[in-house]
Amino acid sequence: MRNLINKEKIEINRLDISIYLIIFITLVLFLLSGFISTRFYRFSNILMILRLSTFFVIVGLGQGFVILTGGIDLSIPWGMTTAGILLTTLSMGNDDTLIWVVPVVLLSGALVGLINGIGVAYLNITPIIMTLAMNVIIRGLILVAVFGTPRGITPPMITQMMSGNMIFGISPIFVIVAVIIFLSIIILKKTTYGRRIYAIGNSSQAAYLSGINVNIHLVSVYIISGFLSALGGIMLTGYSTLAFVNMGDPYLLPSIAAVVVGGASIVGGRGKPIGTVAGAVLLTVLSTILTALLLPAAIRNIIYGLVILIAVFLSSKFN
Amino acid sequence: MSNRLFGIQNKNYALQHARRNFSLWISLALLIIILMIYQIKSESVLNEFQIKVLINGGMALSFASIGLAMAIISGGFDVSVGSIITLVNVIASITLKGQVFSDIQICLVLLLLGTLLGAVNGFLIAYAGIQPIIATLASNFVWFGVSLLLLPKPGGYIPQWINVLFQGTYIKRFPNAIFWLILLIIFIIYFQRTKFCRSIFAIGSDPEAACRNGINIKFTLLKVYGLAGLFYGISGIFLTAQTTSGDPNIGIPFMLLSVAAVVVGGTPFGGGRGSLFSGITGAYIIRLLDSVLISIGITSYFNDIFQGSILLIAVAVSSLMPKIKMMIHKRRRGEKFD
Repeated sequence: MRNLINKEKIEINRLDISIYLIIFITLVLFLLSGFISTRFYRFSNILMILRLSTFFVIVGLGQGFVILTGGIDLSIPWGMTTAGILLTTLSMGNDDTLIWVVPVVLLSGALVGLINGIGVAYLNITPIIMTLAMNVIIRGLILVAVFGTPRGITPPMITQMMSGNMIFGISPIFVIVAVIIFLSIIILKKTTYGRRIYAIGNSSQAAYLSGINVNIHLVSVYIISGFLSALGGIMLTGYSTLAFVNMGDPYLLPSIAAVVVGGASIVGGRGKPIGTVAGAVLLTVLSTILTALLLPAAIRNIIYGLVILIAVFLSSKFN
Repeated sequence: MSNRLFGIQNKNYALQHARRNFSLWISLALLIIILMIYQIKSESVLNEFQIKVLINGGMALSFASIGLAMAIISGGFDVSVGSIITLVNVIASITLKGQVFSDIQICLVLLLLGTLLGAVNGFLIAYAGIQPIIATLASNFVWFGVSLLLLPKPGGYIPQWINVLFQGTYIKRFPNAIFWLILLIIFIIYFQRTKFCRSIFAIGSDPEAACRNGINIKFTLLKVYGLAGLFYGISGIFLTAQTTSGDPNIGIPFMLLSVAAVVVGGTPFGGGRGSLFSGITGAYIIRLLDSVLISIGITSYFNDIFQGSILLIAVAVSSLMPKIKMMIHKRRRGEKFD
């Protein structure tokens, strides 16, 4: 018994080491970026990197919940785009409407997640197929609904949320994201629900036999992911001041990369939200450097792909 | 086993084959039904041109789906279909000059490239131990990135002879695509009798047992993905011949379409079951459904919704199929023994 406890401790330590390693790599990358331009060290630039990383953090956390159960959510890009387009077309740039528009948008994201979850849990559809098909179906629905070009602009309040200044240049979004990170850490670490998610990821058979309602929990993870990708979409619209078709597409790969780089196992059952956050910041620093070097956007995809491969390879070798 | 359940000792090979590939025959029947609907919709006997367009339209997707079917039968998955097709298309549009002899060499090199890219997937999956979905998803983005670097916007030059060879007509009334299709079918009939193909099925149904029976799992997987890559390469060349231009986004729809084709064609996920023919039947079902929808007058905006729904319905049916079969079995046994 004692042996078991020790083993668990070692395992937890090992995870933490991988997180420290990511933070170390992030710092090294950040210091190296000074060679490109000393402007990288400015406080405003650090804030900029953190602001950009909030997108990756939010979608990564959602993806992380799904990956913990051994699934994957490929409907994040159009979950985000749908949220953005709904936000601008429903509110028409008006702050007064936000009180009902924002909940509607977030609920629509959750609805996408619900459908994903029902397909995966009750219809036995492989997660990758279910979410891939869902992504395409939502795209079709939205394109039919807006005839290819979304209208409206972002309400000023949402823009304020993203880039407004509360104190020391800190925007409201940082607080919101910090709360979400805190919540997901608490949920996964301290609650029965979180423990069950880990159990399902380790072995859904064992989880089922020990009396967990696996299907309900699977549905719930996809709802969380859908909800968070809708939030990510709102944030992205606030950042770019209008919604456009395909705006979520660049976020699919980073969402998986952040989770995997953060030390999570792609087959489920292992991983921590804080690792995802560290992975998201690392990816943001990396992509800022690539942008500063004036490399074409295509290079970024290549590098994300390679980062995922290396991270998955290393995590499968060392565990 | 199933014979025992049915209480029949069947010596008839054709019937046994039909029973084993039940889903394939269903999809073939579906194909014929849709063809008839299309026939009725177009209000006249299909003319030469229509037949040619129909057959040409499904060729690229057939090849891509057969490659994917191999990966799925071996118990894996491959998301990188579209990216390999795109890279082949892009490189072809850059390098082809219009001189038949050197162009043929380039095409052969491109097929080799497809095989190599597939083998990289296979290496990542078999030797580096990375999950098929993640390995191919990552390489998918890498190859798309490379194609975008090589050809930032649609363009390039494709010589006419390639278009004629794959899409045109040499002998009257018989489009060249028919001959390619026949070649493909002959290849599959031959291939499904080889030891290699059997070992793919064996690995897909039970890797442990396959290993105990002396199959080199890692090397076989490498070969499977390599061969799949070759098929994506051929598909890329067919697509290039069809569109006669290079486009760094040309392969994006193939990711979804090829999965849909394989599943509609009757190869379920999980490995060890199905048939390579499912790639062909599935591809033509999807292309025909497309044409039927267009002839009904549904706009292209609905295409996404339609393709996604087809995929979901097919997968849901194929994953619920075992349950339905069990119910039928139970009922039959109940009738027999009660």
